[in-house]
Parts: sequence; C-alpha cells; structure tokens
Amino acid sequence: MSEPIMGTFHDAETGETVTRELTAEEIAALPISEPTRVYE
Amino acid sequence: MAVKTFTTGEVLTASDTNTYLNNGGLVYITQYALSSTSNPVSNCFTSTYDNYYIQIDYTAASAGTSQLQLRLRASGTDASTNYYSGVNYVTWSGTGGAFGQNPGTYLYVANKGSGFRLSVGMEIHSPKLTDYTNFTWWNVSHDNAGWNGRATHATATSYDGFNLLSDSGNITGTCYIYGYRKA
Repeated sequence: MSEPIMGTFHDAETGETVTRELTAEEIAALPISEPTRVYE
Repeated sequence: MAVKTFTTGEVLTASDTNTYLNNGGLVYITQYALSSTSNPVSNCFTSTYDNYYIQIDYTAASAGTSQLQLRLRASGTDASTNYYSGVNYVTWSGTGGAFGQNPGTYLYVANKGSGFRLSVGMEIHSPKLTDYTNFTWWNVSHDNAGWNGRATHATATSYDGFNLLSDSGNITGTCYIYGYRKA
C-alpha cells in the first residue's frame, strides 16, 4: 500500500496546526508539476 | 497602528506597553512546522497589513529533487491559475540564466535537492486586497542554484493565506510569517 498523502493545516488566528490525510478531492486539486529546472 | 511619543514622567500603562512595545516595522504574525506534501496556512493575511514577509526554512534531506510550490488560498481553497513569474538564477560556477511561467498553475518557488537545507525569503504584496498579488523572492541552497524571482498572481481576489506544496514527498521545516506595519 502506498504512503498516504498528508496535509499540515495551520490557522494563524487560533495558532492551531492539524496534520491529517488529504481527502480525495484535495489530492485531485494538487498541482501537476511543470518540468523541474535543474542547473549544472 | 500609529506611533506614540511618550513624554517625560508620563505613566506607561499596560495597554500602551502591549500596543506599542511590539510596534516595530516588521511584526511577527505566526509560524508553523512544515511536515507534509500540502502545508496550508489560513487567516495570516488580514486588513491589519497590506504587505508581508515570509521565511521558509526547508531543512530535511530528501531523495532526489523536488519542487517547492506556492498557491494563494481563500477560505480554504487554493487558487490554481494565473501565476506569472520571471526567475533569474546563478550557479556556483558563475553561469546563469532565466526562466518564466506564462502563466503557471502554481508559483514555482525553488528546487529542493537531497542533503542540504533550502532557505527562502519572500515578500508578498497586497494578498488581502481585491487586486493582483505581487511577489519577490530569493532562494539559496548548497546543492542548488540561487534564484531571484518576481511574480504576479493575475486574479483580483482577496486571499487570507497560502499553501506550500511539494511535488514529491513531504516538506520538513518551518515557515515564519511577518507583516509590514502601516501608519
């Protein structure tokens, strides 16, 4: 089984941070990456 | 928040101390530990400040190269279009170049290679206003070319936060957020 994709959610107003698995909807919304720029 | 000039002999009240003691030009707002693929912060952009400074200390070694990405966020939803950027980079051997996003679906902030800490300093201008948001930033890491970037998010929307993302694995480190005080 692959590792779950996690999210760390911080609220600056309350100071709370919650770490949990991303929902299917949140995973679908993740960016499709552009080609990585690698330099010599 | 206005500056107050105290006069000789004036009583320093608790209220004045709490209000003005931290009345520096750059005011700490919050910090949080980065530990996941997606690391959103909400409610850090408010009407108290127009412009912000963030520092990202990305510390963990990771296998291979991953991208550090940023998206603006409003009411729990990331903005996924209209990130225009231009980046100048330079390598330790003195070669250099440039690239851009015209536009991208996220702001390409940096590459994170394995083994070395990555540092990022970024100014974010007017994210809370219902207007375009502008960015300038730099990054540096021993195993990566240093970048100087500038960008605009070409959507007139008010945002209350942002999301720091990795395209491979988890980010480990800390994000610090400050506001530039207004008069």
